[in-house]
Amino acid sequence: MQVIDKGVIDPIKPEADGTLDFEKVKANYEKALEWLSETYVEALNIIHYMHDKYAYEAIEMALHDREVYRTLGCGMSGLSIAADSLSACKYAKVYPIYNKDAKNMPGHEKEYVEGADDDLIVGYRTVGEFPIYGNDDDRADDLAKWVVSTVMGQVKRLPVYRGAVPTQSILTITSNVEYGKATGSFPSGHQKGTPYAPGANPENGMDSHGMLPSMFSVGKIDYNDALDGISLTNTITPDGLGRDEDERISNLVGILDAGNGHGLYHANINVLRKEQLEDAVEHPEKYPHLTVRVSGYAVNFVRLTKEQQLDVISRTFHQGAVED
Amino acid sequence: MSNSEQNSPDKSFRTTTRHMLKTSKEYQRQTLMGGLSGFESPIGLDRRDRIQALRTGDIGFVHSWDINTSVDGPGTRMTVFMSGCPLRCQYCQNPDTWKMRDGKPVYLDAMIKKVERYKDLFQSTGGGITFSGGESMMQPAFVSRVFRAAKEMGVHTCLDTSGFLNANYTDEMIDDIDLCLLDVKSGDEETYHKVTGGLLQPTIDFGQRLAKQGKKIWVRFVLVPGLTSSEENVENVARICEIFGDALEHVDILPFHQLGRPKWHELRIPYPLEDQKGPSQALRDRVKKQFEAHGFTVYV
Repeated sequence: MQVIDKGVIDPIKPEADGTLDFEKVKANYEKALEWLSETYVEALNIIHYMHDKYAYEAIEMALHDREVYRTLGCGMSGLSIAADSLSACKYAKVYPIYNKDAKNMPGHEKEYVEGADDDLIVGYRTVGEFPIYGNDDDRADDLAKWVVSTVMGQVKRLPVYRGAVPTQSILTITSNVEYGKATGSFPSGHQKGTPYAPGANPENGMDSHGMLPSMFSVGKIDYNDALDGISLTNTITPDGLGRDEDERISNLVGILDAGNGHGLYHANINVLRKEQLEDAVEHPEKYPHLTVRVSGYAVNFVRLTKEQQLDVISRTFHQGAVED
Repeated sequence: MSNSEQNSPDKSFRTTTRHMLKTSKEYQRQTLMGGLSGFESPIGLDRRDRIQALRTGDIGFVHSWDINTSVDGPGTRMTVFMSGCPLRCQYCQNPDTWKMRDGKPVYLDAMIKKVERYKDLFQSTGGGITFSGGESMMQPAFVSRVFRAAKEMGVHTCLDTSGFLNANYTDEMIDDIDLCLLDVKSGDEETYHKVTGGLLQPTIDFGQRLAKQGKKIWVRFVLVPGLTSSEENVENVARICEIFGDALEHVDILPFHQLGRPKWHELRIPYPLEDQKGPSQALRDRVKKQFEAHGFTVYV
C-alpha cells in the first residue's frame, strides 16, 4: 500500500483507465524495498551493537568456535501476497479504492480509515483472472522468486555489524498472523486484518491443485537467496494419502521425494487426527491450509459450511448424517 | 426420500435451461474442485475450428486438474477433469461438469507438456495420469492422444469413466489404457436409467473389452440409500463385476455425500436428492459383505 500511495517514497498515479500499471508498481515496489531494507538492516545493526554493549551473551558465545561465523538473519512474511498482487497488476486490472469512497462501497466498508485523508488508497478492486502463486504456474512463481532475490540483493549491499553474512528466511508460522492484523487489503484479494500465509506458502485457500504443485512452486525460489530457510506447510487428512498405513507412508515418502527433486527445501506436513479436524471447525484460523481430499473432491476445509465440515469429519473417520 | 418420490422422480433436472447454459465461475473459487492454473487458453478459434480441433483432439475442454494421492488410482497422480457428460445422474456432485462449453479449451501440446513435467513425480510415487470429469470418454481423440504420449514417456494411464460411451473407443485406444476406474452405477437397465438417464449395456461391453485386452479394472459403485442400495441392485452389480473376471482388481464403494449440493443451487438445477443422507455404517457393511460374498476385495 505504501508503495502506491503516500509514505516514504513518491506514490504512483493510476493510468488513464483507472488501473495500476504493473511496470510502475514493480519499479516503485523496488524503491520501497530499498528504503525498507536500509531501515531493517540499520535497526538490526543497532540491536546487535547495543546487545553486545549492554548485555553481552558471554556464556552463549563461549560455546562457539573462536572464529565466530556471524550471520545477520533477516526474515520476510507475506511472500504470497506480494507475488499474487504483482501478478494481479500484471495480468488483471487493479483499480485502487480511495478512503473517501471506501465507506460506501459494498465489501470495502471495513477498509475505511477514520480520520485519514480522503485520497488515501485503502483497498483495491481487481477485475479479471490472474495466475496465483502456489499452483505451479511459472507466471506467478517467477514473481515470487523475483521478490526474494531482489530483497536479498538489497540487503547484501548494505554494511552489516561486525562483518556478518546477511541471510534471509521465509519461515514464520506465527508472526504472519500478527502482520496480517496490522496491514490492509491488497490487489491480490487479501483482506485487511486477515493472517498472512505462513512461511513461503501460497495465499490461504488459493492453492487449488493439491500439495505437489505447491511444493513445486515453493521449490522454484532460489535457496541461495534465503539461506536460513524456505518453509512450506501442508495439512492433510490420512485419507488423502492412502487407504492404509503402509500405503500412506509410502505415498508420502514418494511425494516428498518428488518435491525435493524439484527444489523443495523444507516442508511441514501435518497429518490430522479426528480431534484436530474438530478443532479446525471451532478454530478455522489455525488451519487455513487444510485440504481434505475425498474421491472426486479437493475441499479447502475452512471454506465449507459448518454442516459440511461435520459431514467431512464423519466421512473421514466414521459415519455421520446417515440412514439405512 | 419417500417411496412415491422415488418411483417418479422429478426429471426436470435433466432438461437444460437457459441459466444452465451460462457459465458459472463463482463455485470454481470455492475450491470444491481444483482450478485450471498453468494453461493458457487458445483464443481466436471460431466455432468451426473449435469443432474440428475437438474432433481431432488438438484441443480438449477441461474443467480442472489437480494432483492427489490414492483417490483416483494408485500412487500420486495428476487427475484431469474433462468437462461435458452425456449422463445426468441424480447423485452427481459435479453438475458444473455437465456442459462441455463450461470448461476451458486447452491445447493438446500444453497437456502433454504438463504430463511430462510431473513425469518423475509419477515415477517416484508409482502414480500416473488419470482422466476423469465429466465424462472422459466424451472427448476420445484428445484423451487418447494424451495417453499415447504418456505411454511413450512411460507414464501409467488411468481412465475414470462410466463406460456409457463405449462406442467412442477403438481397440487401439483401449490399448493405451493401463487401468480403468469403471463406474457401474446400477445393475439392471431400469434402475440404471432411473439413476442416470442412460443405458447400462455399454458399460458392460466396455468392461468386457478391457478385460479381453488384458487391462485392469477397479469397479466403482456409488451407494445412495434408497436409490442404488437395494439388495437386488447390489447383487446385480456384483454379477456384472463377475463378468470382468481377473481384470477386476477390487471394488470401491463410494458412500454418497452432499459436498456438491451448493453447485446444484448455484446452477439453479432442481436437485432430486436435496435431502438425501449418506449410507449408515450398517448399510455400508451389508453392501460390502454382498460384494465380498462374490469373492471380491472391497474398499469403502
